[in-house]
Amino acid sequence: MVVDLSVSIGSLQLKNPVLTASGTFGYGLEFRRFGNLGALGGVVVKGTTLQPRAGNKPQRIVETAAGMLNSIGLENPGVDFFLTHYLPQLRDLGVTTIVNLAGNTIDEYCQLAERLQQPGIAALELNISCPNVKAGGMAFGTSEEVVYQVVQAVRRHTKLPLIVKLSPNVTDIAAIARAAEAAGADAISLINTLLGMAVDIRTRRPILGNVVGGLSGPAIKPVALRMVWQVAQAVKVPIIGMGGIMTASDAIEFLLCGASAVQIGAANFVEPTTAWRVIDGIAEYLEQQGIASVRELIGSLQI
Amino acid sequence: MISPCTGTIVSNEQLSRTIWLLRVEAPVIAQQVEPGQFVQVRVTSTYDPLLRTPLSVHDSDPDRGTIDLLYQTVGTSTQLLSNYREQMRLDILGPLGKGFTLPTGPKSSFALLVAGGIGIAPMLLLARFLMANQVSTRLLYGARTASDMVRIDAFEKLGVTVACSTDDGSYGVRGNVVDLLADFLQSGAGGEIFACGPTPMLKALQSLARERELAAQLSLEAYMACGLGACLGCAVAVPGGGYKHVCTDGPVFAAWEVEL
Ligand SMILES: Cc1cc2nc3c(=O)[nH]c(=O)nc-3n(C[C@H](O)[C@H](O)[C@H](O)COP(=O)(O)OP(=O)(O)OC[C@H]3O[C@@H](n4cnc5c(N)ncnc54)[C@H](O)[C@@H]3O)c2cc1C
Ligand SMILES: Cc1cc2nc3c(=O)[nH]c(=O)nc-3n(C[C@H](O)[C@H](O)[C@H](O)COP(=O)(O)O)c2cc1C
Ligand code: FES
Repeated sequence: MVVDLSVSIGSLQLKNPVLTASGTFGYGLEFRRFGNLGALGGVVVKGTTLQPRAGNKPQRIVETAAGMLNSIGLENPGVDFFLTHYLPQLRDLGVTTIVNLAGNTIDEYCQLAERLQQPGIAALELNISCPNVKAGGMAFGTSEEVVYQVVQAVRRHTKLPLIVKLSPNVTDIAAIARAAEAAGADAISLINTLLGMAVDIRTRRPILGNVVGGLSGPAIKPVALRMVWQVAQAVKVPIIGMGGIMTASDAIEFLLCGASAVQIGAANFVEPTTAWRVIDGIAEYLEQQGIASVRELIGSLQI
Repeated sequence: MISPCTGTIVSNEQLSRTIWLLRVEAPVIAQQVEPGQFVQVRVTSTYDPLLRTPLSVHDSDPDRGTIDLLYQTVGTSTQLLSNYREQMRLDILGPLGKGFTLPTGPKSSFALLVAGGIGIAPMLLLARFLMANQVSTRLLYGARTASDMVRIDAFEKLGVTVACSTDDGSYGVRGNVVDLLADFLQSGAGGEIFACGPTPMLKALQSLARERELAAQLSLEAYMACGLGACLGCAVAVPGGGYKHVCTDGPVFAAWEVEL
């Protein structure tokens, strides 16, 4: 039995529902020795800003129970370097490339979106977990009004499919998702990392140079699943789920809860072939269950 | 070419209270590895610990297809590694990173290997390559106490001259290894420095090398997630601002390249 793995995220057609998450797979090129990048549903590249960023001071990562904290601080070489250096290589390799945008003002997001209207870029993913400097550094993604404003503004500056990536550090994730949908998002991805902290009792200091950081890995999967499920009840646009996916069965759980596709994050660090294994594992599951298309799984959770 | 591989363990031997020597079949890594490069070992398939453990390649035997890792049990991952027995399989990714740059100068060139504690790990493969290139090689090795000093015989077998220091004076000279090096340089000797050890030691070495205008290569440690240049977690500051990445730009850096 040949199973159909293809899914669509709005107007974006994906070969299969498995993408790699921003910041965990570099520009894809770091992983080309482990598999064919063109065979992935897509690669979401590292968060890209208008100007190059040096990132936060070390220590930037620490392992925690079944997970890790990171405070990388969006280190990246800037959008121009991405366009001249990485995009041509990704295009040549036939990679479905999605660019993750990070900004500190609505204007920055809009400028980025315009700059990224380029052949070889399949979609944009708006990272709204960034601090909004005009609002005292509070993350864009924590207020419905601000989410609406930034998504609506970026929407006017791009024709590319626009995915809005939600921060889980909010009280009502469904309300934020509805604001993004109302402002013109083509899809919603979630979750970004959960804000966390780790302490060294010998030095009595925080372990991370930045004091706080984002939690990812298997530890956050139950929270991520719950949020994907809640958002799936709240919006009609497709959802891309992530948070702690290590295996195909983890990925299938997200599809059942209403995600049309998934992203693999921290698992890429543990086992660099994870994304390819998850694709194979989903296909195997469909064969075993006698299901013709992965689309039949989406949102099919029985309550 | 980096390859994930699962190798069969040949031996895992306790050398001191906390230091172990592991030999594992990894033919591709054994063929390709250069001194100073490392591997990422996955000590468990569960999620505790989740991330891989970076370990330097201590030695390699391309003919037999084995590599040696020398590790100190400091926490969960390294403790778990010490439970591995021969015939068990171990998941290893490597070789990774940019290792030591071997001197290409005249055959009379002189190498000073400076190791502090478990910083001895990458030095054996380096010594092997240097001796094969007829570079006369001296090891200056410092540890806390005599029982923490391991593998000296392996260096001597290669024909390396070994001088030691311990914090408590129980083996070699009392004091730290940077002082040992300073004393040695006092006699008018020189050479290129290749060092690995705790950051305070590397910092002291960096200023000594600058003072004496000696070339020095330092092997650094950083907390790592991927080891592949993807997560950007392993940042080390560079003079003038910004960061390099220990896993791909290093772990070996020229002393002037980094701000410790
Ligand atoms: C490129 C590289 C090469 C290395 N080579 C060797 C080697 O050949 N032999 C060896 O014994 N060790 C080596 N290390 C250090 C080794 O990776 C750590 O000791 C190990 O990851 C500790 O894991 P753990 O779970 O046992 O200890 P944990 O419980 O994680 O930590 C125990 C203690 O070690 C410190 N530590 C943990 N991880 C690191 C790290 N990545 N860098 C510095 N300090 C750390 C912690 O702060 C803590 O104090 C190397 C590190 C790097 C980056
Ligand atoms: C080291 C690291 C860097 C990350 N960088 C970004 C980033 O630049 N932009 C972004 O939107 N998310 C970033 N993330 C979040 C991931 O894309 C993902 O949302 C999160 O890690 C949850 O998935 P996981 O548990 O599978 O890792 C990063 C995560 C990690 C671990
Ligand atoms: S450890 Fe991930 S970039 Fe160096």
